[in-house]
Parts: sequence; C-alpha cells; structure tokens
Amino acid sequence: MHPFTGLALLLPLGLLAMRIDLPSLLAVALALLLVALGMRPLGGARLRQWALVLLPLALGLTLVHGRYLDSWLGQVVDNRQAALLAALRLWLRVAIVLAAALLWLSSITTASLTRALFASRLPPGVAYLLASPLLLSEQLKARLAAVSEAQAARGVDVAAPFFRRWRSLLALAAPLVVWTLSDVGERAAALDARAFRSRLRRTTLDAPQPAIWERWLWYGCALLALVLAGSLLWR
Amino acid sequence: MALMRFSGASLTRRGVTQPALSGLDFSLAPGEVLAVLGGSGSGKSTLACWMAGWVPHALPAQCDGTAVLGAESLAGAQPVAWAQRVQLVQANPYAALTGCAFSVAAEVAFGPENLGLAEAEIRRRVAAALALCEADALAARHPASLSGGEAQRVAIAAALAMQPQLLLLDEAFSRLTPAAATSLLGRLHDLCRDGMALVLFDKQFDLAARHAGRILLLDGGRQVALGGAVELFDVALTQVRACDALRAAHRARQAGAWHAEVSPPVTTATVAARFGEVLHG
Repeated sequence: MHPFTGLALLLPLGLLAMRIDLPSLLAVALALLLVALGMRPLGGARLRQWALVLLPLALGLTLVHGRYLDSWLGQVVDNRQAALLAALRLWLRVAIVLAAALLWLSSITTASLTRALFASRLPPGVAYLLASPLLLSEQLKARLAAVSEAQAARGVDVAAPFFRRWRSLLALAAPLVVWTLSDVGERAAALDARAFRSRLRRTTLDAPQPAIWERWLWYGCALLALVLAGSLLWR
Repeated sequence: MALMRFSGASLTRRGVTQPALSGLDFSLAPGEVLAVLGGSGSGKSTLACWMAGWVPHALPAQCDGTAVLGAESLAGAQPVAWAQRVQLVQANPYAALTGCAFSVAAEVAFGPENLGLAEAEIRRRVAAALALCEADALAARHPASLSGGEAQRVAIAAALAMQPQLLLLDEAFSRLTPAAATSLLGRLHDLCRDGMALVLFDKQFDLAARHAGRILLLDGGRQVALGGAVELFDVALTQVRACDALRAAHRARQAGAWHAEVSPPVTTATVAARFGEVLHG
C-alpha cells in the first residue's frame, strides 16, 4: 500500500470522530482500531506507546473537564455527569486519532514515506522540509549514542534508573542540540554539492507507486474530508 | 583550452584585510592530475572551496584577479550551479553525507536523482561509482553506521556519480590505508584518461609525486612553486611530509652529499636506484 493512502484516510477519520457525539459509537471505533493495532507487528509496543500518552491524558481531562479541580478549589459544580461526558467524548476523539495514526505508521517504513514525499508533486525543498524530522531520527539516534559514550567516559551514569538519570539530561541534551545545530551549514553544503533543488523535478528511485484504486481513494477521502469539515462548520 | 585558470588571483575572507590566498597563477587542463601541497594553514582547503565554487555563498570572501572554470568566473554563482561540473570531497567524509538516504546506494544515487536523470542511468552510475571505490558491499548499509574509511569511500563514490569534469580531493584519503588510497587513486587515473581533471590537496609529497603530473606548492596562502616532482623536490620537502627514505635523500642533498648529476628520488620505488647511483658514482 502507498504510504499516502493511510494518511489520506486519517483526515476524514479525525473529522468523523469530531462529528460523532455518541460516546458508545466512538468507543466501538476506538476498540476496533486498538484491536487492529494490536494485530500489527510490534503491536504490543505501539499499544504501550498509545497508553503512555492516553492514560495521563484521561486523568488530566477528568480533573479539568470533569471539573473535579474546580470543586477542590471551592467552586460549586452543578452537572458533573455532563462535564464527565464531555471529557470522555474529548478523550475518545483524541484516542481515536492517535490510534489511527499509530496504525498508519505501523503499515509503512520511514524510508518508503520519505521516498514517497520526494517522488510526490511537491517541490523538492518542501518535500525535504516535510521529510526532515523522519530523516533526522536515525542521525539523532547515532549521535545520542556517541554523546552517551563520551559522557559515560567522563563519569556520567547513562545507564542509571530514570530518576537518577534525569539529572544528567542536560549533559546529554546540550551537546546533542549544539552538535545538530552546528551541522546545519555542513548539511546545506552537502545538499548543494549534490545539485539539490537545481531542477524543479527530480527522479526518485524505487518510489512507491499508488494503484489506480488508491488514487481514487485519495480523491474520495479529500472529498469526504471537505464534506465533513463543512458539516462541522455548518453545525 | 584550460578547464580552470587562475591568473594573479587572490582571495580575502570577509572581515579581514590580509588575503588568505594570493599570487595564484596556474591552469588545469581536462584529464590532468594536479597536486596542491602545503603544510597546515597553507590555504589548501580554502583553495579547494574556491575551486568548488563556494565563494561567496558558502565561503564569504572577496576575490581579485582571474579565476575561471571554462569561460565562467568561479565567484558569484550559487554552489549548486557548479555541482554537475565540480565535486569536492573533504577530509571529513561525514560532511558529504546528505542525510537524505537510508542506505549507501540511495546516498550515492541522491545527486544523479537531483539531476533528473533516467532511472537506468542513475542505477548504472551508482553501480559504477560503488565498484570503483570498492564500496559495493556497503550498498545496503545505513550511511550513519559507516566507519571513517567506509564513509570516505562512499563520499568519493557519491562525488563520482555526478560525473564531474573536475574532482577535488582535499585530504580525502586520510582515513584509508596507504594501500587502499594508492589502489583507489590508480582507478581514478583511468577516469582522467576519459577527460576528468583531478586535483589532490595533501601534505604528503610521495602521494603527490606518484600520482600527479604537476605539483603546486602553497605556503602561508601564497603560491611558492609550480612544476614537476623532481623540480620541486628540494623546496617541497622543507614544508610537507615525506617518507623517511625521501627525507634521507633530501638531507643528503642539503648537506652536499648528493651527486649533482643524479636526480632526487620522488617515490619510494626509485629510492634504492637513486641512492645506488650516488654511492657508485
């Protein structure tokens, strides 16, 4: 499947979640997405990532939107049930969008998404801008490993438990940020040396090719997103 | 017609008054191999950047005199405009990696892809460049995982895939073994027969003498001499590195112990013969 197909499905799905008010329907949609996510390779790890974000969010929404915080501060809360329902609805919507995004990410590789971006009709500079967070991730991992090694040699315990390790966060993060920023000029020179952006169109080897049905699906998703956005604004 | 020509050329970095390079007077023909020798701080890397068309965008500086590639002035155009004609490989090979690729093959293909070439032509260039640099086995590796020597091979392969008219190697073999560097330079010589000019920026006299037709000697940013290895032997060895055998010959010449009619040895291969000629008259 072309990497953009899952991305095309995400937008109308997110808008549909905004459009549906019934919490039970949102919960069913979320359950289906989580089951699908769990069945993917490395599904367990992705479900843990999802839970790590969504469970603290649930707590925060209950406190703030459920108005428990207000009552602790001495305010009178008239209709707690309605407040909790609103908080639940909001949490379900965020949970659906995140689960769908993780499901999409589990179906693609970083390399295929980057190649799809470079092969798209976007100007090469814009494609590079969009792809740069993906491109940076591997380099940052390699650099972090190098910085960790260097700091470990200077006595920083990088393998310590988290609560002891956070004290050495600055010692790890500062060189990483400075190193990355100092590389900007070097990277620009390397791109210039390879004639990047010297032509409006570039060739991309092994670019993912969308099937005809996928192209129709993209257009259908765009149309559906337009209709849903219109219905949300009209409401 | 010369591929590149410098005449009374000098370069002054922005913000200073003293020129970083001055008195440059040389030309480079297609297919020629020129070595630029000099010690640390002699201006080799600055000259390499200038020849690569980095002035003034990537190297802010003021140029005087004549410095042209073909008929076009080297200063003024964006560096990207020169990419198809001139390629520079620096001592730090990681600086040449674009970060836009997830494999070595994709990294080497990135330049030809930007030129909008046909897929078959890109694949041909990538395969040829990797084979020439003996980096075929690295094709599937992630560029961030390469060692210094491997990255140096990949950086040279990426430059070759652009099929430049002029290849500038600024201490580009510093992380390779001498045997690997010699072997790679031998294969680059074959490309020079097809018209590609090669400029080696280095501190090592033997390497320059073995591979370059002419040597340009820099000292403190000034062009000191230009000529063949034999001609420059005495002056060059006071400023750059050389193997012990060549250095011994140099000392002998300085001390007046060398026979006037015997030419100095410029490579290790000729050392024994030259010393023999001196000893046996």
